[in-house]
Amino acid sequence: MAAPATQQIKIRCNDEKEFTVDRDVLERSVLIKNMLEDVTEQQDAPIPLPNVSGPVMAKVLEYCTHHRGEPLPSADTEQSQDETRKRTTDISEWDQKFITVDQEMLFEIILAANYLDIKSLLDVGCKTVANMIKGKTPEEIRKLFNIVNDFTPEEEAQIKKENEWAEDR
Amino acid sequence: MSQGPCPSDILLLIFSHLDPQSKRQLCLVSRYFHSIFAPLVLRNIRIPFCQENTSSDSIDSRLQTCSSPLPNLYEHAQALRVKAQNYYFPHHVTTSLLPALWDTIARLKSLKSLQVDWEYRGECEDHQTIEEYHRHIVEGVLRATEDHLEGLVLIVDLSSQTLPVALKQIRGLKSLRIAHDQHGWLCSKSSIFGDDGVCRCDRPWMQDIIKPLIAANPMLETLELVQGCLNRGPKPNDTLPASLKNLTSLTFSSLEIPSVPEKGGALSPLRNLRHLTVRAPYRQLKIDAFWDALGAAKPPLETLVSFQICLPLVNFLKSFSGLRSLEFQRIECCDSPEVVSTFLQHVLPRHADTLERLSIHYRHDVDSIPGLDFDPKTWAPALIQLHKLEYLGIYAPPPPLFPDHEDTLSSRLSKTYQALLDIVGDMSNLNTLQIHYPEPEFGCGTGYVNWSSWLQRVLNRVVPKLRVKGGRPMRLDLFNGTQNCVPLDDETWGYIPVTVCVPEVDSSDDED
Repeated sequence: MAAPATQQIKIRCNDEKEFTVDRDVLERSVLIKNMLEDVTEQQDAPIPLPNVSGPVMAKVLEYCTHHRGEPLPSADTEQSQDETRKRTTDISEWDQKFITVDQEMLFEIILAANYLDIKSLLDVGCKTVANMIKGKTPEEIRKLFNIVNDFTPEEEAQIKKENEWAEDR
Repeated sequence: MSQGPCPSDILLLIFSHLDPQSKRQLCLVSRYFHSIFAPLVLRNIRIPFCQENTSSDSIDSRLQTCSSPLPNLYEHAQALRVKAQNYYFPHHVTTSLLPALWDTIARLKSLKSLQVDWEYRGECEDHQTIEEYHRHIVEGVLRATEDHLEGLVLIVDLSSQTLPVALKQIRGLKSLRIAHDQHGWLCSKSSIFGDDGVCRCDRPWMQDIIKPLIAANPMLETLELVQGCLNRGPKPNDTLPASLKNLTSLTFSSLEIPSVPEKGGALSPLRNLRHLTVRAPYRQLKIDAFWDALGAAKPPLETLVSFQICLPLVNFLKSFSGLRSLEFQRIECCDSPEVVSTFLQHVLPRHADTLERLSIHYRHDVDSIPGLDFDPKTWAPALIQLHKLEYLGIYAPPPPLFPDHEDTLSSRLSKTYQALLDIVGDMSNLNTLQIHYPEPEFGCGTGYVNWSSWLQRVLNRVVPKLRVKGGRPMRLDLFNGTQNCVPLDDETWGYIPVTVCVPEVDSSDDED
């Protein structure tokens, strides 16, 4: 007897690009999972995702497909994992390769993961940015992310003095 | 990441993965970043110079820094730690700059928590200088605590003449912990213990510091008195005055309570108590009247940690329901069989619907306490009722050791531990079972035997045979009072249905 066919779901991005994806892959996104649970009857109309573009969604789906079947963090485990997450910036080999993209795409992926509520992907993105920041001076960080220094020299000196009080934790 | 597209909640998530140095650097990137990150970077602060950095230029310049206005610090700092290792009193630097430091601290109006290690451990032993050090701290703390501080941890040097006067003036505390430091100051200062070894500190200590401090802070919710005078501790009327209406958490290691409770002395501050820790063994601190008073106060107690078990305590415990956590630690003795029977037959059933954690540990050198040791016959009826239990720590001593009959011992251990696992196997919420057993005495028996190693090897034979009903995973610890010490090799992992988390031990030290 053939295995039951996986339900296919259609989604539509903000550039009208459409994807048809296995339901379990899409359910890595808590946003979409909740949407699907709220719909009782089968609908043919694609789910609109107005905050995500086609190319970014393609990358997100690549991630979700690779991680399909892995347990989603439950509300109970989330809190304990939170501390662990904060202590480490380790990223698995596959995820590292996956997230090696240009800076614009990196932030698009982070924003999409935040919107779609895919915690593990959001973590991978944020850890990657954190790794880029580590050990850099403020000037290097500005250069890296194209940020304008809008402090006066006096303000900068003041912040340096205040930072001396900060506890190392 | 330029300020437009990246919302602050994502920036904060990135921030959470960074080390302290990188966090500080981010504050200096732009005004937008500073507005997001400065409240977090400056939340927990310390005095900005340390003993490792003692060049006078450096300290001078840092003290100068303290005297300039620091508006962000004033706005965001919530917790300040003044510790000996990071507060170096530079006696070779002009002391006129120190008040500037404390001026700054006094402006920290958002401060909610202050931890002060009051004991001077600098290089200068000159009494006058040390008193000056105390005076500066006291003045600064008093100004910082004016009506806005919620928590204070004090580690004080009782030889100071300045402190008793100053402490009386602190107001507005919700949390207070008075503790001895790692050197155990209360027992080591010659000014407290006379040559005859008699403690002389209790009255001045009580009358001059604790009593007025507690009396002046009626909003206290958490009170922790961990100080060293076990037999001449504070009196309830001093530490628990009727004015304490909000007390929910109490910890003490001594309490000089009269053996006969005063009429109507129900210790009204105990009425709202949810968490209680008594850190003194029964031999040293008999507080039967306290347990009786607690019963009269009828607090909504949720957690209890006690270093003693006695009849008044178990009578109190059977008088109410609702405990979530009950821990007996470092128990030395149990004064009558009635204590254990009341505990098993009345106390545990009373809290069966709520108890999530039950733990009974003995003091490290106690081999057995009759009745309290695990015995399937007496314990099973009580344990099977605890259907909410998630953690169980219990004392199950191995049978007497006979090195010539290792197989017999192994078999008897198997039976005892399996009986325990059979009982807990029905507890669907239990995820951890910690079995305690005594550290075998070194060198007893005939000839030289490494008992610890030998017993570990016996246990190593026992554990693989153990089964939990339904093959349910469960963490099993075998604990000898100091560490988990059952050596398990890789093969063993394959056999056992329990999850055993113990450090691997080098098996080459077997010597019998």
